[in-house]
Amino acid sequence: MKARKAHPSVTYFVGRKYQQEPEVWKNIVSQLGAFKEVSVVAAGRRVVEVEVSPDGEPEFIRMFSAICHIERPVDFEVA
Amino acid sequence: MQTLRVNVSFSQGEPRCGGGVLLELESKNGSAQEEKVKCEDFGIRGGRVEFKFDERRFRPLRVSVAAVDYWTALFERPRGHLDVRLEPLPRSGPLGWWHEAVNITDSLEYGGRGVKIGVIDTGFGKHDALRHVKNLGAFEGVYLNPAAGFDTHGHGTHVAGIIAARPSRRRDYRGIAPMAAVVTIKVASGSRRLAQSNDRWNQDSVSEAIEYLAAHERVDLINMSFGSRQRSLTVHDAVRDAFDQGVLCLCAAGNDGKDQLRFPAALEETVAVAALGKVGFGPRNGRLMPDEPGKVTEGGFFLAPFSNYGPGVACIAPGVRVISTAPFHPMAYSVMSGTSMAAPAACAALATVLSGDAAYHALPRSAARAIHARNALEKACKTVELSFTYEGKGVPQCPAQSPRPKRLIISSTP
Repeated sequence: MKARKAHPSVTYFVGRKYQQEPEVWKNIVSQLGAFKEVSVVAAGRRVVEVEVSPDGEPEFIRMFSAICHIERPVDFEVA
Repeated sequence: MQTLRVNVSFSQGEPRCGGGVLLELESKNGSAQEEKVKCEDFGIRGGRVEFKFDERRFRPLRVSVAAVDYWTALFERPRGHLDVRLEPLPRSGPLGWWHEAVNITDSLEYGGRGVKIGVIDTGFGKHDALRHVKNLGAFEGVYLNPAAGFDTHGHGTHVAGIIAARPSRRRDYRGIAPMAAVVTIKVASGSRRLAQSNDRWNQDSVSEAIEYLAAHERVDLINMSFGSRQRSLTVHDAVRDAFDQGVLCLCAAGNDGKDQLRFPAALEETVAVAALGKVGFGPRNGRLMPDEPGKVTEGGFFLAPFSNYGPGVACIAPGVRVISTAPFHPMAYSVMSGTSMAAPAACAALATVLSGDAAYHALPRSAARAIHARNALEKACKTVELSFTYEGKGVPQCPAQSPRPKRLIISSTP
């Protein structure tokens, strides 16, 4: 039987909106981890890198965009 | 496949280390998606470099040949093979035209004491003139790796040298604010990122680096000689938080030659710096000079043709043919052009202004401090008679009398 090709997951960066207490940010990170369509790749002080399955993308955006900055990778280059 | 050959030789001597040839290709169907850049290295004796490309899809747009301690040679739309003879950089320091443009005329005036500058860039390479610069490592994505801050690109070391180089030999070029405390952070991509080369990165490392410099290192100014066409809310938020902690970010306007600033220079909280050039310094080159004589002021200044501009430009600073430290040898220098060179020149000039500003140092670390720094920069600027959208308030001028370093006097007599 031929295996179905899975859709590749989408990379997002989730950033803190304004000054948030570390506890609030930790809570957001744990919520991200608990959300089954999202896997946390790396969590920093300001930014969390997540991979989201295409099926869960609309729900992820709806849930977290109100409390965080959610954006796709932006490339910076030397000037 | 077509082959483009470049023969490189040196008119005098040999460089301290090899160099590289960069070929930029242009897609024949005009698709920006298919722009291609190829790079090949050559050794200290020069030699022949070959590029192969599909002539049905691409044509050569530009070739640049660079080696440490030599002028960079640029060829627009090269046809056929190239024989390139590189000329050595002048060693007539410690002051160049870029020092004169920011009002440094006395090589013994060492400014910037008491001001701490954070540099977010491609890293930092050890150099004799930069022994006082502290390298904090690299943000690889969101993780700070203290052992990974080496500059494999050359850009970050050049920027640090423009700000604070303290050369031991008089003929080498010094920084604009050698007494400023400088800390550098390299920004790099994480493991599975879209940006994979050593001169590209994403918003995670930039945001974390800004936060680290503002909150941990408590810097006064941050230099960001990079940009993006897209906005990042995450980076904007980090810049705004830094601003609220009294930290002012100075950013390169971008090298697209357009009436549009790159991000984060376009942000309200940052200072956008455009690139200034001056006629008569360095070999003649079409790409680095304005295409019309009318664009050059009576003083010989011009907006670099590659520099972005617009009403958001706060000031203009030297950014064409600036000679500064190179990371590949402890005594090496290289020439670079870009708004990347203009931002640190403005940043260092501002450091010399703030150094003697008691009111600035008395302010608490809040937004008022960053606003004071921005106002001080605007006050220190002097017009070079370019249009407002080119020069903003003008070129930042260092105060005439900066604090001099203490000298150690050794005497054999009791």
